Amino acid sequence: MKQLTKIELEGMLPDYIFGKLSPEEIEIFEFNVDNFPDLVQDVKDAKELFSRIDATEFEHIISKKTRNTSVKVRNRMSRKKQVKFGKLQLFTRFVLPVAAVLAIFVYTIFVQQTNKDINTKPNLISEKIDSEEIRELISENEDFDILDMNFTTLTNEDAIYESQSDFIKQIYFDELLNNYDQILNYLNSKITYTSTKTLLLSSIDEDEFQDILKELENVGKIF
Amino acid sequence: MGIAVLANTAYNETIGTLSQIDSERFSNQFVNEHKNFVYATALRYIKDYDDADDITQEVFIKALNSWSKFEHKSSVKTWLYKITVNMCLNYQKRSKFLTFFSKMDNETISSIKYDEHNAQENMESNEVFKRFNEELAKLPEKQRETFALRYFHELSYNEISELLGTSVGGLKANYFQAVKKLAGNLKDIR
Repeated sequence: MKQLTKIELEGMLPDYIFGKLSPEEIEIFEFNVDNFPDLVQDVKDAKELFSRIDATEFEHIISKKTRNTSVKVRNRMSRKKQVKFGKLQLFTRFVLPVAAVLAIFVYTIFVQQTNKDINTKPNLISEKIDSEEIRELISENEDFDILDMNFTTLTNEDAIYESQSDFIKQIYFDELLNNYDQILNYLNSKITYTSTKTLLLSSIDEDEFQDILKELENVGKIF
Repeated sequence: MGIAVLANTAYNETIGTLSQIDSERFSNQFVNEHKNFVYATALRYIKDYDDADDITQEVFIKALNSWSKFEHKSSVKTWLYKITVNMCLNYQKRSKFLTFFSKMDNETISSIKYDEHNAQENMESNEVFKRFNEELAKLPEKQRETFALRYFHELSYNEISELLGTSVGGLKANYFQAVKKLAGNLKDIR
């Protein structure tokens, strides 16, 4: 008769108890198991327990729980079919909201970027007109008391406008008049060649031209 | 067409090629044949009767919808077992996630479910079944699954080995340990 190790016998023990071994295997098992009293005890304990437990009874209990499963599955499947989205529903329920969210997101990013650009834009006046230059211009003006000015604030556009906005305007107009011919030529070229809808100098009649001259004279009187 | 013939035909075809009526017949036959196996497996993992029932339905819906993808390289039982276990594990993850956010203790949930079930079980006089299931649930997963698949569902060692990824020798050792522990822990019903 074939000799078996304890591990081999342990591997066969459950199938021996549940009657899954062939007659030959049963004979070999019973021949060898007597060499291991603890295994004999295990066989006895397991047989006692499983004689009280009937696997078919367990199956019966489970069957009670699952008796309507096929109906439930069929109902659930038909419900899921109904819930399936058509193309239009898919578009209105998912694509549109996603597109809207994306648009809001892109717009928000764009606005933030624009604000950032505005905030970081250089101060044009303070860049173009050096504080020393302004100081010289102010000192040349007799109507202005230089002692009242704090020059450290002149690089700040707001400070300049708050304190001496009229004076700054005067500087700009002076510059405008000094370069009057150049500006007029520039405007003339632009108006003549780029825009047909705006006023054309060539189309101005005599009366209108006289009115413009009067306006220019009035402007000259101011300064 | 008889159910048995239909089943044989259907097992070799895809469900999509069958007519509506045949498809329904096949679905019913397929579900009825395997529902206990799927339900019992789900119950071992989830330990809640209602949730196991819910998962069982989802398993069959998934299996029937993906029947055409089933390549018949393994048996239907092993295929269903894999789907069931995957669904149960996903369910457990989802439950843990929800429990974490609702700040509820997992033990509280299971005790409530068991209490609800106890009344039903006592009415049905299934004390042995209940005690046995409790002790079975306490076993390590490999031992529990080896025992259940072999004892209740009568799968071969090769099939179980494929499902659990354990050698046949290892399975036999697990099976022995499971039987020994159950016998030791269930002295009160021996």
